[in-house]
Amino acid sequence: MTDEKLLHKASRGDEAAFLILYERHRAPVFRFAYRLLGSTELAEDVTHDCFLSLIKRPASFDPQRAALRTYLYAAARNLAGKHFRQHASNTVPIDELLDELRVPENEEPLRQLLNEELSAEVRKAVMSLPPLQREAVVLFEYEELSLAEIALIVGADIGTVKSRLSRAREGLRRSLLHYFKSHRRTATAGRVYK
Amino acid sequence: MSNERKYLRLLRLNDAHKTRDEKTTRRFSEATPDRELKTLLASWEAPDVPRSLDHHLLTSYRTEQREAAHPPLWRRTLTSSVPIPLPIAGLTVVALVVTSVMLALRPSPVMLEALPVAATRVVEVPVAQERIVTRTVFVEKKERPIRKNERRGAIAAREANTVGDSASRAKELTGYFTRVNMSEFQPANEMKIRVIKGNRSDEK
Repeated sequence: MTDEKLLHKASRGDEAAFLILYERHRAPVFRFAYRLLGSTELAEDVTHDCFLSLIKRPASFDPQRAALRTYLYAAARNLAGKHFRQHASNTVPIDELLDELRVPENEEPLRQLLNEELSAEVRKAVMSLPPLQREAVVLFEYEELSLAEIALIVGADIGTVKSRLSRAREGLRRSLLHYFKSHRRTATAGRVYK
Repeated sequence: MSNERKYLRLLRLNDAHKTRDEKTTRRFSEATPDRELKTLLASWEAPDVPRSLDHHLLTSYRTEQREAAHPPLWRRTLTSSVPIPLPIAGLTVVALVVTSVMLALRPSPVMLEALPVAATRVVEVPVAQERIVTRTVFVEKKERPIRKNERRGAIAAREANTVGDSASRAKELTGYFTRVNMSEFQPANEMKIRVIKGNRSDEK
């Protein structure tokens, strides 16, 4: 069944339809909100409000304009933006970042430790990006959306999205310089020559 | 010659294809991240959706649906509608339109010319204060019945007195006379005589 039909049914009180719709889209919306805000609690709130507003005002979603997921991403983005405006300093304490890290448990202890460190560094680097660059990176790299879809979600043209993405990548490369294999190789070579 | 031309055209076509391919590759590389960065970014995984969110959202959904099915009284009052038959609705609309047009076409009341604003100016005018001179005049109401010998004496004294005949004549007419002592009397420039009756003793 299509998203539009499910939404129509859900808005008329069909709980099963609502659950199907929610199951379909909850993970990407939650992931997006989590990577934007850097907190599970905030991501939970944003995802909740996102779905609830969809049920309250189903007419605000126009299937001719975009897919439901795109609409939900845009709604989550707006809610996250509201949060950014309310809390001007959107930096998450590093302790909190480390607490929420998720690394596969069935790995060797040393490998696990290294992965945890890398994950924390990547998260820190992404969270240190300005919100507009961050959302571009999250939608492109993590959610694997096309530039056109991102442009639709953020309400900007493709060129703007590209430039934000490019700047975000530069920032990430700077922050994660020590973790690039090419850099390590160059550094090692430099040491050998000396 | 024709072969050369064909060859040149093929070369140009080939160049054009090359340029287009280069452009496409460049665009692709702009949009696509380098593998290393992508691998690094992938090391940060997002947590699973918490179960509490599912429960919380389902509760909110049920509440929302319940409210939508039975809206509160204030919302029902504000959003409720009353069905009206079409002819009545039409007549009402026509009546409203006619009334509005009549009100709009009614001549507007003549604008009154604005009166010039009178400037208030305080002018002090010297006022001559009136001087009031009060003379108390006592009037003897009635003459006591005089005894014969007293009467005679009085007549004699009267005759001897310088009081004119007018007084005696007045007495004869009215039955009483005024005893006025005019000695050392100096007339005022202006005089207002006020007769004070007996029962208004407090009047000045």
